[in-house]
Amino acid sequence: MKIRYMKEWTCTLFAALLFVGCKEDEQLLFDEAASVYFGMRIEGSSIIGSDSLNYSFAFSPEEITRDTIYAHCRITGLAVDRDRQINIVMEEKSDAKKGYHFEILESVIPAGKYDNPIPIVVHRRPGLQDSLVTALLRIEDSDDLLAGYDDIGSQPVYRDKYTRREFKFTITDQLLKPANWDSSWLPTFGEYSQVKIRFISSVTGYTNWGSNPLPQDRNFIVQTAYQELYNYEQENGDLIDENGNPVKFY
Amino acid sequence: MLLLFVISACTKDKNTFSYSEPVEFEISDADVSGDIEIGLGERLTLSPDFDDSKGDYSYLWFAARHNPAVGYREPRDTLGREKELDTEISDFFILGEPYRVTFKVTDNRSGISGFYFYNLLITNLYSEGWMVLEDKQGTGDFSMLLPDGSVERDIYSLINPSYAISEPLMLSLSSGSVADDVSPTGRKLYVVGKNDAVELDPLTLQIRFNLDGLYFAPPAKRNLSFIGWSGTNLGVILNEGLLQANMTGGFPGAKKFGPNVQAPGVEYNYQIAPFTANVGEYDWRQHPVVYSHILYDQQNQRFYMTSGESLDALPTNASNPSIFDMNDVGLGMKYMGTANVDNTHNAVMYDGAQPYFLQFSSLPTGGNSEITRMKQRMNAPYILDTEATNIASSFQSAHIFYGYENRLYRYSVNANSTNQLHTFPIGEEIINTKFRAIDDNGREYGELLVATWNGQESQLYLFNVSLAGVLSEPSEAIGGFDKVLDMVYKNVN
Repeated sequence: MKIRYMKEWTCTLFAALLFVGCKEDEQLLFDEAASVYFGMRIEGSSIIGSDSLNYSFAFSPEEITRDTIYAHCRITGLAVDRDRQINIVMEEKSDAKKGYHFEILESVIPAGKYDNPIPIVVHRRPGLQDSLVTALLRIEDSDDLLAGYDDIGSQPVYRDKYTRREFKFTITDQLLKPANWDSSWLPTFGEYSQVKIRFISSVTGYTNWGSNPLPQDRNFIVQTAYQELYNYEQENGDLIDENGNPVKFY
Repeated sequence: MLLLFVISACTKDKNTFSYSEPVEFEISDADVSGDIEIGLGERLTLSPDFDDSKGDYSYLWFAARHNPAVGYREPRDTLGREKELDTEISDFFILGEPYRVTFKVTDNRSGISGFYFYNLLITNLYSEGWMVLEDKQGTGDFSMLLPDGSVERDIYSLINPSYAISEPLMLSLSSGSVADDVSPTGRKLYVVGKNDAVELDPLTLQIRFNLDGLYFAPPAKRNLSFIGWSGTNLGVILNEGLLQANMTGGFPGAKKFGPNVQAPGVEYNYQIAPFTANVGEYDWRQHPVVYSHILYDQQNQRFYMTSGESLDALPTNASNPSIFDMNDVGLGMKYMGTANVDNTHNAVMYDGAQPYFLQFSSLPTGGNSEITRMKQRMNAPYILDTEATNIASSFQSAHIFYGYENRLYRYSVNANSTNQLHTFPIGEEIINTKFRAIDDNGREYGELLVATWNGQESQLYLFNVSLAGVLSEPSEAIGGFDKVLDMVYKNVN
C-alpha cells in the first residue's frame, strides 16, 4: 500500500514538472519601465558621448553666431513604436541661461530607436568674449521615460565627474590658454599669446588645442604655421601680439 | 583483504599502448633554398626527399597565404596528392602575396603525419630587374632589363597610358617596406618629373597616387629635385630645394608629406642636395645615439640631421674639426652615396675645380661621439666634370666608379688614386652609372650597370664587380633605349 502510494505521488510530481516545463518563459529583464541616460555610442573607431563638453567660439569666424552640440542619450529596455520624450532640466547652479545661451531641440527617443543624439544649439553672445558660462543638465522622469542610472557606471569612459543622468557643457568666446600649452606646445611655438594661437589656428585649421595630436598631424601643424608666419613676415613685417611683442615661434 | 590489494597492485596493466618506436618523418629538399619566386600561370614542380620504401604513405600538397597579418582561417588550395608536385600557379594565388606550400606525409598504418614547408612568393614579369628611365621627347617612360637579359620596353606608358610625366628626372625605390596607412605596406616606387610625380605599385607598376595625392596639402609651386625614402621611416621630397617630410612609425593615422621644413638660423633659405644618408641595421645597445637621417645644404654648405619635424644642426661633439665640421663644411656637394662600411657614407665635394672626398658615419661608436671619418683632396680626374647620375659608390669595396665621356674610372678611397677601367667606342658617352651588391646564395659580388649615349640611342653594359672592386669585361651592348636618365634595380623583397 505504501509503495503504491509512493508511485502515485512520483507520477503526479513528474506530470507537474512537465506542465511547468512547458510554460512560456517570462521576459525578466526588459519588463521594467524604460529609462534614459546620457550614454555612449561607438562609431567606427571613435566613442561618441562623454559627461562634459567645452565649446569655444574663439576660433570661429565672426559670422558664426550659433552652432550645435550633441548630448547622446540612450535607453534601457526595448524600443517602442512611438517617439518618447526625455525630460532634461538644468541644475540651478548653472550660470548659462536657457533660451539665451543655448536651446535644447527635440529631446526625444524616436520610435524604434534605442538612442539619439540630442541637439543643443549654442549661441555666441557678446558677454562670452570675457566670460565662460556653464550648464549642467540633468535627466528627470518624464511620462515616457524614467531617469536612468544615477552613477558613473562600472567602467566609465570619458566620464569621471558626472553621473549618467548628468551632462555638463561650457560656452565661451574667450580665448583661453590651453592647459597643455606649456607641456606640449611651448617648445615648438614659444610663449603663449592670443594673437599667436589665433594665427596658428587660422592657417592650420587646428583648434582642438587641449588634445595632443598624432605625430604626423603635429608635424603638419608645426610646419604649416612656421611657413605661414615666415610668409606673413616677408609681406608685412612682424606680427604683433596683444602685449606688443612680435610673434615668434622660438 | 589488504593482501589482495597488494597483489592486484602488482598485476601488469592491460593498457592499449604498444610502446613501439614513434613514427619519424625525415623530409628535406636539397633543390630548394629560401623563398620560391614564381609567376601566375607558371608551373610549380617540387620533389622533396623522403624515403617511402619502409612503409605505406599517402601525400597531400596544399597552399595558403602566409602572412602574419592574416589568420589561420585563410582559404587553402589542394595542389596535389602525389609525392611529387607538378601544378600550375592558378588564380587562387594573388600577385605579390606570400604563400606557404605544405607537403603532408601520412603513415597509413598509424595515421600519423609529418610536414614540410616551402615559402612561395607570387611574382610577375616586372618583379625583378633593372628599371631604366628614359627621356622620350620630353616625357618619361621606363623599360626593364630582366635577370635573363631580355628587355621589356615602354612599361610605364603601357600600364599607365593616360598619365604622362613630363621633364622626367629620376626613379626612386625605397630600400625596404614602408607602412604609411595610405597604401599597402611595401616598398615605395616613384617616377619623378620636374613638376609632377607618381607613386606606383611596386609589383603591378600601376599608378597609386600622383603628386597631389602624396601630400596632406599639395604645394602651390612645384620644382622637384628628389623624391625618395631615407631608410623606411622618413619620406623626403625636395621641392624648390626645400625639405618636405613624411614621417612614419608605429602610430595610427594616414602619413603623407607635409609642408616645407625649416632649417636652423636660415628658416627657408637653404637648398638640400638630392641625396640622403640614413642609418641601416645597428645594435641599439651599442649605439644609444644615432643620426637617422642626414641631409646636405648646398646653399649654406653644411649637413643637417632631421627626424622630419625640422632640420637640425648636428651636436658639436659629432664633428672632429681637424677632419671637418658637419655644421660648417664649406664645400659644394657633387654626390653622396653609401660606403662599404656599415652606416658610413661617401661624399664627393668640391671647392671650385678641386674635388674633395668626405666620409662620415650615422653612428657614433665605442664611446666616441665623432662621426666625421675622413676628408681628402681627391685625385679623381674629371669627376667634377661629369653628372652626379654618372657616379656610383660601391657598398662592397672602398671605391667610387664614375664615367666621363667614353671612359669608365674607379677611384680608390684608401689609395686616393684613380684607374681608368674601360673605354667605350668613341662617340659613346657614359651618361649613367649604377652599382648594386649581389648575394647569390652566399657568393657575394657586385654589378655595375653603365648607360651610354651616342646621340641616337642609349646602350647598356653590365660589369661584374669582385669584392675587391675588380671589373669583369662588359656584357654585350644592350641597345634600343632612348636617352637614359636613371636606373634602379628592383626586386620583390
